Amino acid sequence: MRILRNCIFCLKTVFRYVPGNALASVICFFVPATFTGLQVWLIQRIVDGALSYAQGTLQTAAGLEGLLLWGLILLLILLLGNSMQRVGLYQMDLVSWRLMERMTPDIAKRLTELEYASFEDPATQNIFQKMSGAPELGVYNCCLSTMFVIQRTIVLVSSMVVIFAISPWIGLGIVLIGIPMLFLGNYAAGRNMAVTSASADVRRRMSGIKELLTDRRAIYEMKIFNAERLFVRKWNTYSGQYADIALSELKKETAADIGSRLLNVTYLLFVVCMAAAGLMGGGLTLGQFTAALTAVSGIGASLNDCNRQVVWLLANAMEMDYYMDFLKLETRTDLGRVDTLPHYSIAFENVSFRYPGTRQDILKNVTFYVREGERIAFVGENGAGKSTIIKLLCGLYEPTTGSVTVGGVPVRELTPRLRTQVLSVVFQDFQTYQMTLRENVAFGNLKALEEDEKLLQALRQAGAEELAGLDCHLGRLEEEGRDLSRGEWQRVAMARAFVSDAKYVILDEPTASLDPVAESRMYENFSRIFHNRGTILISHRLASARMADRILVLDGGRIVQAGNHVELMGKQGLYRTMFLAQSSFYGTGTEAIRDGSSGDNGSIFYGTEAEGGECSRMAGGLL
Amino acid sequence: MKKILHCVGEVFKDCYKAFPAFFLLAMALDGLGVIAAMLEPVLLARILELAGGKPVDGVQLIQTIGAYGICLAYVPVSEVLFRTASQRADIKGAQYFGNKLVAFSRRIRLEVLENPETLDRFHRANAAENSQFVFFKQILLTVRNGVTCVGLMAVVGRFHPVLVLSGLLALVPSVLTKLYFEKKTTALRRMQSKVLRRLGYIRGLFSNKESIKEMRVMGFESYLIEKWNGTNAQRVEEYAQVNLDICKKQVWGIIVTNTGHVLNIALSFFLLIQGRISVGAFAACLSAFTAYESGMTVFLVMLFNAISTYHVVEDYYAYFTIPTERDGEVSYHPFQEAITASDVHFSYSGGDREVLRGVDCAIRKGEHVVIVGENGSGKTTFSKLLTGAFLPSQGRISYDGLSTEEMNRGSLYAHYSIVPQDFVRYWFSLRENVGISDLDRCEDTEAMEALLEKVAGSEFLENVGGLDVQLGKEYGGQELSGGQWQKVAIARGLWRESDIIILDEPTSALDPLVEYDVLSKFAEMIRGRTSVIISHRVGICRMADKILVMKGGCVVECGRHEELLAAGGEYAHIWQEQAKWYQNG
Repeated sequence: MRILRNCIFCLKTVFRYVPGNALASVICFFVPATFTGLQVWLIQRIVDGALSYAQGTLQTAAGLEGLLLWGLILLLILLLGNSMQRVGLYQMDLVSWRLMERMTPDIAKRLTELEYASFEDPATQNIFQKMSGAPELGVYNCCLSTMFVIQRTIVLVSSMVVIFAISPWIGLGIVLIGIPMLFLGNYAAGRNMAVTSASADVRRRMSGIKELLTDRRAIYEMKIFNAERLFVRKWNTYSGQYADIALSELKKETAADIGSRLLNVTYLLFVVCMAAAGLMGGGLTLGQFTAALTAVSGIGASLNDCNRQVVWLLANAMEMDYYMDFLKLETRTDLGRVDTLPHYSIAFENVSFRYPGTRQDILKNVTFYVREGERIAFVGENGAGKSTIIKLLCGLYEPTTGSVTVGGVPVRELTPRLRTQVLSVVFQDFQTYQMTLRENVAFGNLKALEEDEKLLQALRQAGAEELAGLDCHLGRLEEEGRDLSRGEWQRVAMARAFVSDAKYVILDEPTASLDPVAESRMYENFSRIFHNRGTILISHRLASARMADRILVLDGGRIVQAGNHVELMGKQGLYRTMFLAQSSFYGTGTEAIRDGSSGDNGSIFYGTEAEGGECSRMAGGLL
Repeated sequence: MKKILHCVGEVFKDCYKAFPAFFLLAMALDGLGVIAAMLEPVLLARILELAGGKPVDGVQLIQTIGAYGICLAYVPVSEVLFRTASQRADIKGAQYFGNKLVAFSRRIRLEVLENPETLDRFHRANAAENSQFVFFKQILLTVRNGVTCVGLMAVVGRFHPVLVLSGLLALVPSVLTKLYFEKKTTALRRMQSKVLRRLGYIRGLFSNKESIKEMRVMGFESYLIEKWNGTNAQRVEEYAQVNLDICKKQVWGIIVTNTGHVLNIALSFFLLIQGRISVGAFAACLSAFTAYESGMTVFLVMLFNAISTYHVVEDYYAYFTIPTERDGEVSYHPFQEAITASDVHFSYSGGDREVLRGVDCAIRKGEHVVIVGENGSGKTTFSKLLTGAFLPSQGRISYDGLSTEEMNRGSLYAHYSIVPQDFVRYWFSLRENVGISDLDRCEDTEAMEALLEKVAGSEFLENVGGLDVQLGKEYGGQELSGGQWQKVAIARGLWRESDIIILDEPTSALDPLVEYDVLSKFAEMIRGRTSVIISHRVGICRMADKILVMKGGCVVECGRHEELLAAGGEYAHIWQEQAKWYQNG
C-alpha cells in the first residue's frame, strides 16, 4: 500500500514539475513496447512467405511484392521503435535535469521553513542525512522504475498474444510457468532485500573501518600505537558477520532462483518438443516454428527482467519514505511580523528550558536584562547552559516557560530580517563555507557583499588581512582553493561579526583556536570596535570576561552570580574560584614581566598581590 | 594500453586468489556459452534441412532437436550457476580487497597524506568498493560476447562469405556512435564534476544543523538558493546541448544499423532465391543475425562499462603505489640521554614552502618541555618529526646519536606515546578507545579504571556507563562531549607506558576548572617520563624544565621561564600578552 502510494506520489510530482517531458517519455516508452509481438509476427510472415517463394510454390510477382511490403513494414517498425526508445531516454534525461533544476530550490526553501528543533532532534537526523543527498533523484528513480515495470509488462503481454496465436498450448504453458516464476522471483528478491536490511548496520561498520583506514589522523595513531591489529580484527569480525547473514539468506534465494530457472528450462524443452511435433505433423509452418522458438526463448528472459524491475521499484519506492516524512515535519513558527522596535533592550524573564523530547531542564528560571550597548559575559562550566541561552535569544527555540523579549516583543515574533539587524552571532561551532573569502565574510551582512573596503576593514579587525584576496576560494572544494587552519577560519568567522551593523554582537568561545598573541589582540579589538554596541560574550577564558560591564555566572542552568570583575573577585564564589585556577598559571607575585607590546624598555609591572600566594600554591602542585 | 593490460592482469590475479573456485567456474561457463551460442544457428539449419528433406530422418531430427533444446536451455542454467557463485564470490571479494587495503594502510608514509592530491586519491581508492569484482565480470561478459559475435560471423560466413561483409557493415555505425557518445559524455562529465560538487555542497548546507543555524541568524538563505540556481542553470544549458547532439547522432546510428539488419535479411533472401544457400541456411542466417545484433549490443555496452569501471579500479591499484615508509635497519634500545635536532628542515611533499627552516634543539631524558608559538609556526609538524613519523627533508633528528632515518621506526614508536591535537574519536568501546595505545594490556580492567579515574574524575566512568560501552552517536553508541573526548584522548596517551609522551594542545576544549584539574593530575602522572607539551596556554610554561619558542619554522628561544622572561624576547612578549588579562587590578 505504502509502496503504491509512494509510486503514485512520485509520478504525480514528476508530472507536476515537468509535464511536457514526462508525457513525451511515457509515449516513447510505451508505444514501442507494443511492437515486440508485432515484430515476431512479421518475421514469421516473412519467413513463411520467403520459404514458399523459394520453394516455388508461390513464385508470383504478387508474392514477391507482398514479401517486400512486409519487409518494409518490419523495417519501419524497427526504426520507429528503436528511435522512439532512444528519444524516450533523452526525454527522461531532460526530466531528471529539469526535476533537479525546479525541485531543489523548492526543497531548500522548505528546509529553511522548518522548525529549527527538527534539525537537532535525534529522531529526525536520518531524514536530514538523506535530504542532503539528492531527494529529487529518488523521486526520479521511483518514477522511472514504475515506468519500466509498466513497459516490461506491455512487452510480455504483446509477445504472449502472438504466441497464443501460434499455439494455444504453448501460450497456456507460459501462463502456467509464469505465475510460479513470478512468485519464486519475488521470494528471491525478498531474501535479497532481507540481506540488505539485516546487514545494513554491519555494512555501515565495515565502511566505518575503511574510513578510519583512510583517515590520516587515525593512521598516525595506528602507527605510533602499533594498533593495526585492532583494525584488522574489527574488519574481519564485521566482514565475517556480513558473510554469515548474507550466506544464510542467499541459500534460500539460490534455491528459489534454481526452482524458477528449472521451470524455465522445462518449459523451453516442452516448447521445442511441441514445436518439433507441430512441424513434423504439419500443424506449424517453418516460419511459425522459428517465431515460436525465438519468442519463447526471449520470454524467460523478459520474465526475469520484469522481476528485476519490480524489485528495483520496490526498493526505490520504499526509499521514498523519508521524503514523505520530510514533508510532514513541522514548519517554523518564528517568522514573526513585527518589523520595528521602540528600543533594543533584551529581557529574559523566568526562562526555563528543556530540549524537546528530553526530561532535563537545561535552564531553570533564568532572569536577566541587557540594556542597549551593554557588554555582558557569561561564564560557567561545560554544560551549564550558556550556549542554550544564545539559541533562545536567537529565537531558534521557544522557551518552555517564561519569555525572551527584545524591546518588549518576544524574539520569535520579530521578522527574520529585523532579528538579523538586532543580533549578530559567532557560534562556537561556526561554519567554514567553501566559497570565496568575500562571501564568507559578507554572510555576516550581505549588504556589504560588494563593499570591498568594508570587508577588508572587518578582516583587518579580525587580524586576517593577510589571509588571501577577497575573491580567493577558501577550502578544498575548488582546485585552486586555499585551505585554512582552524585558527585562521576563526578569524574569518570573527570578521563576520565585525562586518555586521547589528545592535548586539554575540560571541561564543571566539578565541578557542587562536594563539596567545592573536587572542590578546582580539580582546583588545572587541572593546575598541564594539564600544558603542552591545556584546554578549561566552568564554572559558575568563580573561575575556574582565572587559564586560557585567558578568553572569551560570551553574547547572541557574544564574548564581552577577556583577563586574572587581565585584565578583571581592566575594567567595564560583567566579573567583575559576579565575584563580586560571590565573594561577600566570600570576606569581615575584616575577617581573616586561611589557612586550612596547618592545625593549617598556613599563614593568608586577603580578597579583593578594591572590598571588594562593595561586602559587595551586600552581606549585603541578610539576 | 600497457597500463590497462597490467591493470586487467592485476584484477585477474587478485580475483583468482580471492575466489579460485568461482574464477574457474566463470571461465568454464563462458567458454561453453560461446560454443552454445554458435551451435544454435547451425543446429537450427540442420533441423530445417532434416525436416524439409524427403524422406524425413526421424531419429536424426529428434537428436538434433534435442541438442538444440540443450543449447537454448544452457543460457538460463548457466545464468543461475553464475549468479549463485558470483554472490558468494562477491562476499569473498569484499573481504579480500578490504583486507588488502587494511594491510597496506599501515605502511603508508604519513607525510604523503598531507598532500591534498594524494589524499584525494587515497579517498577514491577507498571508494572503489568491490569494483574489482565488477570489473572482472564486465571483462568476462565483454570477451564472451565479442567472441560469440566473431563465432556467429564465422558460421554465417560458411554459408556465404558476402554475409560477413554485410554483418560487419551493420556494426560500424553503432560502434562509431557509441565511441562518439562516450567521448562526448566523458568530456562533459569531467567538465561538470566540479560544478556538481559545488551544487552538492550548497544543497548539503541546507540540511546541516550548524549551517542552518547561521543561515537563519544571519539571514543568507536566499543568497545561497540564488547561487545554486545560477550555478545550475549554466550547467543544464551545457548538458542539454551536448545530449541533444548525442541523441540525434544515435538516432541516425539506429536507423543505419536497423536498415543494415533488414538488408542482411534481404541479402540472405536474395541468396536463397538465387539458390546459393539452402532453406535451412536461410533460417540459420536470420537467427544468427538476431543473435549477432544482441550480442553486439551487450559487447559494446559491457566494453564501455568496463572502461568506466577501469578508472575506478585503476584508483584502487594506484593506492598501492603511494610511497610506503622508508624504514631504517637499526633497532632502537630504550631512550637514555637526549633527543637532538640539528638544522632540521621540512616541507610537505608537493609543497615548496618550508614549514620548518632549521630547527636546532635538544631534549634531555626526564625533561618536561613546552613548545609555544603562533598558529602556523610549525609546532605540530615538529612534534611529528620528533616521533619519526615524518622524516626531515634536511638535517637530522637523533636519539642518543642515532638518526631517525636509520632506525627501525617500529622500535622507536615503542618508546613513544602521543595525544594529538586532532585525536581520533573511535566509535569503539571506551575500553578500546583507551586501550588502543597498548592493546596487550587492554583487558586489565582494574588498571584502566584507575587511570580513567585519575584523568577524568571518579564520576566519569559512572556517567559513561562502564568500560565496555560503545562510544560515538553515529553507530548508536553513547555520545561524549568535547571535553569528555579530550579526557579519553589524554587517558589513551597515558595508557601506553612509554619513556616519552607528546601532547598537542591537550586542554583546549576544557573549561578552566577542569583544565586546571587535568593539568595538575597530568603533571603528576608523567613524573619520571620525558614529555613534550604543545600549548597556547603559556601559563603552564612556568613549570617546564625547558621552553622552546617557535616562530616561522625555527626555534627562536630556548630556556626556562625566568631566563626567557628576563631576556625580554619573543617569549616575554607572548607571556605578557596572555598574562596581562589575568593580573588583578
